[in-house]
Amino acid sequence: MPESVRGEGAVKAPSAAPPTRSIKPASWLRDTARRPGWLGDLSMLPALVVLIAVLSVLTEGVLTPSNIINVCSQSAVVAIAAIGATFVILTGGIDLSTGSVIGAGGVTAAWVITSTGSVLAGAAAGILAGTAIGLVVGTVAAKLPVVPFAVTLAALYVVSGATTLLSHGKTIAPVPAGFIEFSIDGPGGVPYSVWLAVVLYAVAQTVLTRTAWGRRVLHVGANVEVARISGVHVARTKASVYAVAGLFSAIAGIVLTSGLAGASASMGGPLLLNIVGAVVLGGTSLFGGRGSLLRTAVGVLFLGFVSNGMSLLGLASFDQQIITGAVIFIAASVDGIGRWSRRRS
Amino acid sequence: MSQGPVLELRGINKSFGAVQVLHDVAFSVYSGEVTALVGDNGAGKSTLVKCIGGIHPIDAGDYFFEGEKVHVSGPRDAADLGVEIVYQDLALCDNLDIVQNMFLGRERKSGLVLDEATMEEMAAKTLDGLSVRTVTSLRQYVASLSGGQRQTVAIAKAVLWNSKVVILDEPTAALGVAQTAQVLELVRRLADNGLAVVLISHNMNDVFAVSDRIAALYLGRMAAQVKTSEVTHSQVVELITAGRSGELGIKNGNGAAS
Repeated sequence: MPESVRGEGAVKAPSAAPPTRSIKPASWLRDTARRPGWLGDLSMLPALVVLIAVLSVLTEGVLTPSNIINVCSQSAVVAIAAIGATFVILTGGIDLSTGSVIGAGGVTAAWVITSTGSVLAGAAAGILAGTAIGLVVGTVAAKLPVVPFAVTLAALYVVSGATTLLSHGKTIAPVPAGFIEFSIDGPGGVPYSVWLAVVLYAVAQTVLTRTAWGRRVLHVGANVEVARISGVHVARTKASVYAVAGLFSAIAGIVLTSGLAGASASMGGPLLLNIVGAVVLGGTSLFGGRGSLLRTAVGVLFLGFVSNGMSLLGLASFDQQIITGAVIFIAASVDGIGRWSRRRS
Repeated sequence: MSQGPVLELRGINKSFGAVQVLHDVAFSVYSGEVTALVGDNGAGKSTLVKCIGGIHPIDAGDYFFEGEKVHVSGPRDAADLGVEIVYQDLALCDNLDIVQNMFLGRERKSGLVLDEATMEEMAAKTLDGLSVRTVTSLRQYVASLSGGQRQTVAIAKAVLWNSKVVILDEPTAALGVAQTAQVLELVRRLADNGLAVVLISHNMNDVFAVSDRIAALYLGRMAAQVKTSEVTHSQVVELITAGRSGELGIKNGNGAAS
């Protein structure tokens, strides 16, 4: 009886290992098509190049050094806040409180600067406040069964209201001239704020791609259940990205305070959609797990050049809004169609 | 086998709210053997496996590993013991590559940064060790792999850590004939390499083709644990559907196994 059922499948025989073609660790050069890396990260770059080319034809002075510096310095605040937003969106979350935290961080910094005279102390206080808010928001979003959209929407109102209350609805000023200079001038004629953004992008991209924490962020966004059963501390990772978002929002708020020569609770509000827009336009998936800071950088520059180009063309602000919307839609469609056709091939 | 079981559970009880899923379950797994865990849908196979893997805490009962009583309270505890589970849905992230998936949650670092070179090398060595020839690039996205290749990557992920017990939840359920044969061959090779393998399957042909022992769950009770060579297809089917077969199985519903 046993023999009749045993050995039915020939698999039982421990076959002598056949000569195997050993799997060589892939070098990315040989494997560009599949290698996830900076090539995929720059998928929006052609759209940016086309945009700049079109603007160069339509108007003059787009590609002059002074205009490029101008675009970069106008984009610095959004760029810095978008770093934090990228990490949040990579986990599949969303942080709607970014604009309020920009205000809270800036107001805190300005308040400490005006009362102590120390820019350093002010910056530290602002960063501390922003990170603390982010940590609280993140912990709530990660631990409670409430979607991040609702938690951060609530935080948007609470933080914005509290900041307005504490600043009595006023703009906190004046700040020292040297602090204002931060957004105007710097080495090579490029403002310090732009250099700061560049350094922060380099650091953040390295953290995302080269550290275990960065990998966790991708894991949680790619598949939260898989991450959980693989022993990743999902709640801790989620909470941490909101804290990081708070940190970068506060830095952005301090830079904005420097640019506006003062801080008010409501100054960051209008930036929220530009920040999230830059992240998504750059090609970071709202579903999480896919994206990078390089992509966000391209998205920020794209939005920066769109608004710069409209101004150079001398368009009225309502026309600007319509055209901005159209250009964003076209760019996103081209990118989407490109991805779709690549998948089909 | 002369030596004792590498993993042994005694008197495991597990309830979800008012529903008791496992009743006094005993389960033993031996090195160098494939133990098939069979049972009807809802018999408690997946729950038992999740208890072993630390996903579900057990309500009562003892968990012995290599003869010593241990306490497993999370996936990391199980992994630290050398117990790895390959889940039915494979627990792979589609938009990450093979290396990233194999080291998910347990990346190698050199200093502060990830050690990609070492991870790639270890992944390659593990796949080579399993005589896997179907994967061409370790930097392929998992989304681009076939069902059999995914299963292979999931199994390689489980054995990467010098694990001692590997539990496979229905590894052939979604595969075609050729790929099923490949995966079964791999399962057999794991045991021949000295690992204790637990194979959950609904397919009697698979069970009889590769297993050394069969453990049959019936309504949350361990109906019987027998050597594959000592039972027939129909006896196993009876154990699965009725909880008993002749002298084997549950007597008078008191949960005692023969």
